[in-house]
Amino acid sequence: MNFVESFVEKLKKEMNFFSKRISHYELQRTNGSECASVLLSEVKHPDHYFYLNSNLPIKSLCELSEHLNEMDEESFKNHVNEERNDFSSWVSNTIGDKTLGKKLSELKEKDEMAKAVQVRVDYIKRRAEQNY
Amino acid sequence: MNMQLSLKEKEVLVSLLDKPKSIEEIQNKMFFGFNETREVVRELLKKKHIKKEESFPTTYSVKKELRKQVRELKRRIDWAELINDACFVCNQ
Repeated sequence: MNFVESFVEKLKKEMNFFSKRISHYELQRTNGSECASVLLSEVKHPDHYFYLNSNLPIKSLCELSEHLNEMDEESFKNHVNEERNDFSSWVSNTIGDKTLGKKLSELKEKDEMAKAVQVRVDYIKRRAEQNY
Repeated sequence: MNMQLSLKEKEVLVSLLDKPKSIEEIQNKMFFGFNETREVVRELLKKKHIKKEESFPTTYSVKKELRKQVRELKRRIDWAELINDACFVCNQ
C-alpha cells in the first residue's frame, strides 16, 4: 500500500512538472517577457541539469555564466573541443535558447563563451524588465 | 594569431576594422576605462597587430596583412546578434 501511495505521489509530481512548463508553441505566441522568464528560470528536473566534470550541476543560464568565468581551462576543454560543444547543445535543447546556442556553437574559447552568455543574459533581463 | 590574444584585445581589433580610431573613440565603443584601453592598445602595438596612422598619428588601425583574419574574428565575435529584437526562442 505504501508503495502504491508513493508511486501515485511521484506520478502527481511528474505531471505537475510537465503541466507547469510552457510548450514551445505557447512561447512563440507570447514573444516577450514570458519567454524571458522561462529562459532565465532554473531547469526543474535534475535529469536536465548540466553536470560539469566535477559533478557540479548547472541549472540556469545565469549559473552557466558564473561557472564559465570560474571554470579552469582543462574542464572547459572536456566539454568544448573539436568533436563536441556540450554548452551549445544544452542551451539549445534544454534551456531552449536557439540564438545563444547557435552563437556558442561557433565559439571555442572560454572567455568568448562567457562573454556571449553574459551579453545574452543581460539582454534577456533588460527585456524582461521592460514587460515587453 | 588569435590564440595569443585576450578577449579585450580581440574586441579592440574588431572595433578598428571599419576605420582608424583614437583611444577615446575605442574607449567609447568598448565601454572600457581610458587606462585599460591604453594598455590594450599598447599591447597590440607591441605585438605588431595594429599601427599608428601616418596622417593622424593619434589614431590606430589594423595592419593590412591581418585584416582577413580580423574579419573572420569579427564574424565570430559579433555580440549584436545576441541582442536582436526577435523572439528569444523562435528568433522570428
